Amino acid sequence: MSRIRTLIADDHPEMLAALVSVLEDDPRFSVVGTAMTGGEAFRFASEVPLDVVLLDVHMPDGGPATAEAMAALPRPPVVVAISAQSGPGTVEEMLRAGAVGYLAKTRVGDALGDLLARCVAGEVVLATPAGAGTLRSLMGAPVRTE
Amino acid sequence: MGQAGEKGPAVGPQVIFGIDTTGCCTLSIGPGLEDLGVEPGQLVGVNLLELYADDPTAVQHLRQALAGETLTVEREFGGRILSVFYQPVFDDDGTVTGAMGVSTDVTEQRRIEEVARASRERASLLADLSNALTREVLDPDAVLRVAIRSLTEAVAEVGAVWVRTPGADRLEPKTVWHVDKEARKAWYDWRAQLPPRVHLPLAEAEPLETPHLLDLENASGWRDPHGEFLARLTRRFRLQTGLRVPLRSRGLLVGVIDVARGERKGAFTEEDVALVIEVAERCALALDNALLLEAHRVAREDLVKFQALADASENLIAITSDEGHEVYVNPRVDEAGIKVAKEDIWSTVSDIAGRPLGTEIRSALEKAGRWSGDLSISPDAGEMVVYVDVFSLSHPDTGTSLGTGWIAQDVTGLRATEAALREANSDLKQFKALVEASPDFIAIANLDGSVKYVNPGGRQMIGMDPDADVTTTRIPDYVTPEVLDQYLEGVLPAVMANGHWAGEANLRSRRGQVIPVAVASFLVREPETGEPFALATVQRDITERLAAETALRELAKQRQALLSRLVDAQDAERAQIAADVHDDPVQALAAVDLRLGLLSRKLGEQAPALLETLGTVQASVSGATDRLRTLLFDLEPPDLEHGLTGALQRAADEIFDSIPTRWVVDGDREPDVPDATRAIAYRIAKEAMMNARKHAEAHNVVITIAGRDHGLEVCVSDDGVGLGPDPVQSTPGHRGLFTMQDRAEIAGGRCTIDNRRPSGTLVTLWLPVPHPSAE
Repeated sequence: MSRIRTLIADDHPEMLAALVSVLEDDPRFSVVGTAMTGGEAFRFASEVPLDVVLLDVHMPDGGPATAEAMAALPRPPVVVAISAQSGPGTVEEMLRAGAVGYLAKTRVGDALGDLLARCVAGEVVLATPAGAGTLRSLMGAPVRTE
Repeated sequence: MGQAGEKGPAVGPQVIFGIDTTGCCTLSIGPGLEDLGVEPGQLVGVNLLELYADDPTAVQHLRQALAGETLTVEREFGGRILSVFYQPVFDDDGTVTGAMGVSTDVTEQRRIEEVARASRERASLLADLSNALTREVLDPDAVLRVAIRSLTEAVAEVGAVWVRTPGADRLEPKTVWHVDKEARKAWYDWRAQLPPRVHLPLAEAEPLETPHLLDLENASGWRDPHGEFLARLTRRFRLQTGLRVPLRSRGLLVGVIDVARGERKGAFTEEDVALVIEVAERCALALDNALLLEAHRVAREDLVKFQALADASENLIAITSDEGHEVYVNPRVDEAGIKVAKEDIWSTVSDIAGRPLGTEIRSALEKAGRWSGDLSISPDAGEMVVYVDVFSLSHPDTGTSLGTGWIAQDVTGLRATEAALREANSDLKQFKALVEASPDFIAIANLDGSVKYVNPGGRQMIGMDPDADVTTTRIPDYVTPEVLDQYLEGVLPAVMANGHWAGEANLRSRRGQVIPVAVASFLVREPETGEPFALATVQRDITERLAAETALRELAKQRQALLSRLVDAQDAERAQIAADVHDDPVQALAAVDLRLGLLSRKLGEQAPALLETLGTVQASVSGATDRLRTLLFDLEPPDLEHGLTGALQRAADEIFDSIPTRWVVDGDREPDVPDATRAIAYRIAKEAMMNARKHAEAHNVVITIAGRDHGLEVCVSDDGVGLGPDPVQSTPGHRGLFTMQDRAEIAGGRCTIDNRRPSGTLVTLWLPVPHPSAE
């Protein structure tokens, strides 16, 4: 079983370094590249075959646009958004742009590798407090909790 | 005529004469010749038939004697009355040879006889008159008729009485008598033709003191009606001598008696005059008696009438004597419940009016003879006000006091009406003063639109001269053309239908300026019939009010704009802080968290003993991350794209995440309000929800959004433990409650926090919505 080829894109250097450290320590993943802007991430993805892209939502060139551009690639990678923000609008926006996962940075803890692996395996993971609301909104259901 | 046998001793001188058959005097002797101025025997040889040819009566007598007849005749001759006895002289064979005559002068005898007869007549006349006076005392006309008839028969041919007309300065003919029946009849016929104005002026009759001879000789020269009348009488009855005697009663001329004679009776003798005077005195007495009786009768009748009048009068009437005794009191006095003290009227007056006023009335009566004024009397029937007139009575001629008259008129109703009128008048004056002093435009117009009145304030408002005549103006002169249309199409029909109209309109000043006014117009109705007869209007200049309203609206708009800017600025600052916190501290903490996770795995493999310590560090970082996340949530500006309802739903979703509290946001009636207002409402409601989560232990939270009182109302209610007796004061650590109230008040609204029954908390927030973007 080959390692999951991963691109990590985050404009916060400390965060980027932490993410790289965590995934490199995980035998399931091979971090093949990093990017600090959306543009860099897209160029890398269009040149290097990738399985998954962990994409920060708020960074130069923007998260949703980058996700959308990647979805248009001949072999599009799985895009998982990661963000310190978790407003329902943002989550919904990323999902519409093609992301299949949304991870809240403050809630990941030591589960990053597991969550990312599940997304690569085809699951949809919304590890954010706004996940349920976003889902109901996307489905057009009444925004109400009984 | 007297006969020979009646001749008494007073026979005068005689003449004896004789004639032959031819009438020639054969004898003429006797002492009587001297009185005739003839010498004895002087006439012998003179034919007496020839001598007395111009005296047919004498010739006749002589011839009768020569024809053999014995006769006695009485003749007036040379101013003497002679009684002549004729005796024919026969011869032996009875043939008349002549005649003898004895002439006796009976002048004196006849005079004495006449005096005696006249005396008898006069005595009889006076007796008749006395009888008539006694008998006909109530009929002076009858007395006068008897008097003038008897008097005329006794001493005259024509007699008349003139009687003074009461109340006029003249005398009118009353009774006329003529001794001759035919003449009387002719007189009555003739009198009907007399001019009606025939009278004797009093001024002419008044000076007559004694019997007065009327100058009938010159009567035809008189020109006044009375004189003309006398002249005609004189001519008619061939009068020669007239006598006029005044009738006086107690010095007052009451009439005159006229008697007149023709040539037959000659001049009036002293006895005649005395008789006339005596009759006149009796007539005057009769007239006076009759007048006195009549006056007495009239007075008596008048008294009865006056008393009946006083009895029937509605007024209270009394007469008292100078001593204060009751003389007369009409029934009204008793009916009014007044008990008059019969011997002391003044005690009664004091009882009614009080002693001081009683004294005042008495004093005024003594000094001025009169007092009048109102008195209140309290009869059984209730309070009564009378107007009393008290006055001294005195005899009109003599001036002697006759006591006191009292007349009291019931003026209770009148005084009440007067008082009501005075009050009404006073009210009217007050209303008028109010209208005159009002700065508002107050006007009255006829129903046809012609103006009757505009008050001074109104005139000033529209720049009209204070003395201008408004009655030549019409309603259109006072309003702008648009207002006139509004008036004709809306206001006037409304006023006619409902009686009034209120609203806003424009007045037009004399210079054409438009004055905005608040108007109240109404119909003025006739109080009795309710028929409308005028239009009245009160209009207040609202220029300043409108300006103030505009300024207020402007101020509110500015305040809203300021508030919006404030909220925007606050939100922008919050967003900036949130972004800054998010961009670095949050990322850094997340990175630390990731690395700690990595470290934890490695320690588990290489140094498991340190794992516990690492767990503590991880918990601290996780706690810090949570607190930071809550702070970010607080700082996050609301996303109002889906309205306040959507924003609060997302907030509730976040707040009540991972706890079992159920919640619902009811925003079906959310009004359209500015974003600034919604943002404030959002923060306060979110604070309330966070309090509910932290302290309430509620099972259910309900959030409702609605428009109320030109504002936005948001209620957050829970069924939790509540906040104790005084929600705001008694719960420590709830600074959020004050913050909510402060925020609401800064925005011009309010926020109340109450306990619910049976348990729970209700937060009610209301924020104003600035005009005009109301719900």
